[in-house]
Amino acid sequence: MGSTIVLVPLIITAWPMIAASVTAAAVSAGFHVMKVVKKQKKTESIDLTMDNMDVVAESLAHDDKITVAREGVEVTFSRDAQGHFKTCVEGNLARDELKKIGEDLAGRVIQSYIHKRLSQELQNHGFVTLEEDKGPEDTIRLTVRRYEE
Amino acid sequence: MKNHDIEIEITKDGKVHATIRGAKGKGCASYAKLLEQIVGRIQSQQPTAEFYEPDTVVQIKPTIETRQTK
Repeated sequence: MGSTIVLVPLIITAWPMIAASVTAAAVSAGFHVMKVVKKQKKTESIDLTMDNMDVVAESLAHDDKITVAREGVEVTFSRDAQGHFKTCVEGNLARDELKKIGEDLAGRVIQSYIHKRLSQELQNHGFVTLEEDKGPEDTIRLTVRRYEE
Repeated sequence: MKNHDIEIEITKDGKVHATIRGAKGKGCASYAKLLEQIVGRIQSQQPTAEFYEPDTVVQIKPTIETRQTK
């Protein structure tokens, strides 16, 4: 063994890249993407900001957003004018439950993005994927190899 | 021919645990740097005995595309 490393994600990316990860993570967690968002009345809502994630503006549109839903809970991911990635959770549940759902899904979005980026960049640097599977507690396990002369 | 392996575990909040096998010294450090460029920030690093063995030469391209362009 050479080294064991723990890395914390820091994401700066364009909206289309993160939107693809939002869709992938949401579908894998049983959500569906909403094309038309109806405003619910009298529901609890909570806003979460991801400190380690910014979305780079690539156009003048400041209203990039995507809403997903599952069992009456709607989660909206968006990029604000400052480029911060925001998560808003709405539904007829207690605030703690909404917060847990939002944090879990936002984490999965980051996981999906990091997985895609690691696979792509390591392949660009000559690594081949030997193994890829799901581990305990929804972790993604990936083994890559590079052949050196 | 020598194999350099990286075993990666991505937790459900996006944190990455990586174990580098087969690369030594600066070679191992190059892979750690590459992972840092891809993921974000190294929270902790635990070099093992193999890390201190004589170097393996590893060539890593210095630039990484981080933004998607149209």
